[in-house]
Amino acid sequence: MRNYSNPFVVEMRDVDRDFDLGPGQAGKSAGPVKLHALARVSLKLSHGEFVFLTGPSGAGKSTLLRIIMGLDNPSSGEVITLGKNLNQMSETKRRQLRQEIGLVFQDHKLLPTLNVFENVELPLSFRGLATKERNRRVEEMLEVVQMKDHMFSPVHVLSAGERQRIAIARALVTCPSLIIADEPTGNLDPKSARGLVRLLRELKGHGTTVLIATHDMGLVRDFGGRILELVGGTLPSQRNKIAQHNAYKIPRFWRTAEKS
Amino acid sequence: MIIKMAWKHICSRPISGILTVAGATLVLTLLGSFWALKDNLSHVQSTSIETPSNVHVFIKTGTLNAEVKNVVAIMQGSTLLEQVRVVSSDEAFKEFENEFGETLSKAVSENALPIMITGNMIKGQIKRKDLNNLVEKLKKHPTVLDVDAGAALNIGSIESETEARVVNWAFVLFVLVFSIVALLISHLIRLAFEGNKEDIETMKVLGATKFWIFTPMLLEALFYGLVSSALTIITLNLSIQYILPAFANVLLPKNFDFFTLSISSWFGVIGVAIGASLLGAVMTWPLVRKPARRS
Repeated sequence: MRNYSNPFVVEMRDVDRDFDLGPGQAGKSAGPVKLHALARVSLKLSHGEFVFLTGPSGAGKSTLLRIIMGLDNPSSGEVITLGKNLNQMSETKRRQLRQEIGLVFQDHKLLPTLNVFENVELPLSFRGLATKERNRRVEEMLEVVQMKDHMFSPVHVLSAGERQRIAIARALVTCPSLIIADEPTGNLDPKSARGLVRLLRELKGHGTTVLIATHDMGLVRDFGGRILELVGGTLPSQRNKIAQHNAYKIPRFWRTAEKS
Repeated sequence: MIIKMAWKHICSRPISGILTVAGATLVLTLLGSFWALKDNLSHVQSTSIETPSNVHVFIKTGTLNAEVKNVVAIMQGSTLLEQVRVVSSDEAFKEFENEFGETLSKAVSENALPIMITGNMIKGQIKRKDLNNLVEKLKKHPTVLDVDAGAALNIGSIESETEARVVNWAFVLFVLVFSIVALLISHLIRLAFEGNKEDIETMKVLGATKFWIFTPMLLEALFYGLVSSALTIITLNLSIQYILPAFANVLLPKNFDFFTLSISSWFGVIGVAIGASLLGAVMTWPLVRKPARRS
């Protein structure tokens, strides 16, 4: 059942995420060097929104997604996913929350021990659904992603595109309110990638919020929707000096070499 | 699905699995062998050929019938004996004759023989201490001349000191073996956990509860516990048949009738194997609780 009592599926307020990189060149007395992966990020995702999260490598896309999923904790700030404040949430509650989210990864993350059917069935088993209902949903889902013929195949015999379709089926089979896809098209050919994103966009009409992190600007241009561009750990409206500080620069010895 | 996952864990480290089961079997056999010595010290096997399965009580000739009945009542009141009866003079005389030959019948008359009461020991294993107590009680009766409980009493005097030592060592060994098996199994499960870390992390990310992560480990531990138990039954039987009798004389009195482990001790050894294995699984709980971290 969808919970529309909260107007936002995801709400982030002034979220920072710093990583300690150990002592710097100045030694231990100077304190650890910190990497600011996210700096004062605030965002709100409504029900049924179709959102692309873009940005260069190291911009903090994956960190942002991990925080939304409850796989990482912000250094400061507040995160509310599906109406639940993650800051005060135990690991058990976080796992229960993730059962409500459809997750798609670039490298599929299918369990090689299980066959196609069992992989798609897994999230339903976690939720304790009856066998009959599980079977009905999995069969229907596999039909949607055109993988019903491979229902009992082991996953290692499938191509990358087929595996990604199984991963999509696994993410959608629980009818989640929120789908988070981290570079889902990274290993796919352009045609398969477009087919996959088209399928995800269709979910918009069913009240599902879809958040896709991608490098593929072609896809972003073709499918539109809301675009969040992360640069140096900040979103456009909040971009500040930290972002500039993180930008690449030509090393000083190049300039010296040019003079000589 | 959970069974499939548990099987994957088991198959992921076959050599480690075999070595762990072998190690567990070895220490469990050692424990079982020591328990067999303890059982043999504290119990008597009433059904074996070497150990007499009867208790004979000899009463002074000419004792009143009421006094004889009194002794019979004491014997019938014991849970160790069944079919207690007064042996007729005729029968007793014939038995003595059979045993000692014609000289006895020439030396004593039928009337001079003591009255004999005999009782069959219950079948199975009897606690030596209980039998000793019964014999002492009967001996204290004023009309009783002697009590014969066969070889069962021969080690009565050394029982308390030796048994106390063996019982103490058996307990120490029990704690040691339990810990070793638990650590071995726990280590093996940790290895399997590390081998399948990627899958387990994915399951955690997808929202698998602790039940889904822990149950395959518990089944894995149960599998190793059962396999170790089965192998221990075989090796312990071989040890009791071929190895222990040769070494038993070092600890137990000479010409000691060595019998197998008591049923309760068999269950004890199997219990240690399964209990320690399950404890081994429980020791991996911190891995189950650990939050998912996905890069």
